[in-house]
Amino acid sequence: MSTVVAEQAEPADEASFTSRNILEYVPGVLLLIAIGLLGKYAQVWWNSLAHHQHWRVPDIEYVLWAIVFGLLVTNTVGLHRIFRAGVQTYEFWLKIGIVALGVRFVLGDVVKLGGISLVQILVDMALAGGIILAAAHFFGLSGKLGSLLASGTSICGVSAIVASKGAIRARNSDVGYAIAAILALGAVALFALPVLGHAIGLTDHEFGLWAGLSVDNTAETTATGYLYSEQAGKIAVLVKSTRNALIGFVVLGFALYWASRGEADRVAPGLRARALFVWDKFPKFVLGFLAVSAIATAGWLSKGQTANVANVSRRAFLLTFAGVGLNTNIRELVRTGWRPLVVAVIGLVVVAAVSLGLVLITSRGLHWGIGAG
Amino acid sequence: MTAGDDGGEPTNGGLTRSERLAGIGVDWWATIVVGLVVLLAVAGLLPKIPW
Repeated sequence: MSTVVAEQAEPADEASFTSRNILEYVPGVLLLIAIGLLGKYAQVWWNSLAHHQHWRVPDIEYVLWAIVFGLLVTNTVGLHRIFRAGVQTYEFWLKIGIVALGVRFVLGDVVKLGGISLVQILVDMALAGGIILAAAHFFGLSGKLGSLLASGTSICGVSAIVASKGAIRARNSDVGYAIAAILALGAVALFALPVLGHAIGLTDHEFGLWAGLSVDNTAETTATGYLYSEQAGKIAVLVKSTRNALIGFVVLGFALYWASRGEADRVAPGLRARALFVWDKFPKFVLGFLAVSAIATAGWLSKGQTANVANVSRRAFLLTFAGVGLNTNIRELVRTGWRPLVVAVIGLVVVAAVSLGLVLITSRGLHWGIGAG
Repeated sequence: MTAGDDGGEPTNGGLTRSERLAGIGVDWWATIVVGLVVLLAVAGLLPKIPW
């Protein structure tokens, strides 16, 4: 019997580069840039128009404009196939943005906030994962679809689902269902959480923690955080990266469970093989983020150069937000069917409620946190 | 005969350069690109990037 560890790694982010011909990426990347810039200037135009006309309307951030423009393109005229390869690179720009964002964090704060959020993530995962598995069972979904939804909802969305797919030998239809459900929820969370956050009166720090803990897909987590504020976006990215770092452990757990039932390939025995399994699934961009944070903490960058690297991060995120909109096809999400969506909605509500409770208890009750600046 | 994990050296020399580059993975590519940007910044050579 083959073992999972012996297989070629199935990268969680394999969809980012879909072609070997670099020219095929050009139209899509240009579209990301165009929509991103349109979003950025729409913010400027909207705010200046509102100011000029003395309208009492909220400022609309470039994040929202870029996502909405992307949504409009995909769900009206559609995305021509010439743009697809380039648009799929939005995960690459997301990771560039995250690694470069390391420049805005002192390493000590990363360790402290990472440690705090790790406790919250573990509690969240245990509660939410259990409830999602129970809901999947209740609605008659297959055990493996339940496992995919639980790993996607509690850890890191599509990446966790793709990473679990090979390890638990899930059917392609289950994988498609789970990914569609997670993406649909990401879209809901993206628009719902900032409104709820303002209604509850969360601080930037609290909202960043909440978004990082409860939004499943890293691109949507980043967008949700930045929709609230830049500071909330920074915290959300850090917390989500901590969640992502746990992906190997969760996938290993599900792989061991399904292998014990004889419904997946056996995981190679021994600590070394399992450590290799976890390393294989580990999101390596987290190491880049830590390295950049260490360089900034060591004081090797001038203030001006720190600002430049931070602007590289912002620009990369701009392309990511355009890609989030362009990749959200509402018709495809509706076609998924209601059962996986109901389970995923239960997952989102449970994860959002549990993580909001944890954030409020730890920040307002226990006064955990950092003086994030 | 197959290629090693993570796009490593093939046992039959069958991987092209582009296949090897693709095997690096998007996480490492992002880290490499930002690493170069940060190196330029440390050396004071990164031009002003406006927002």
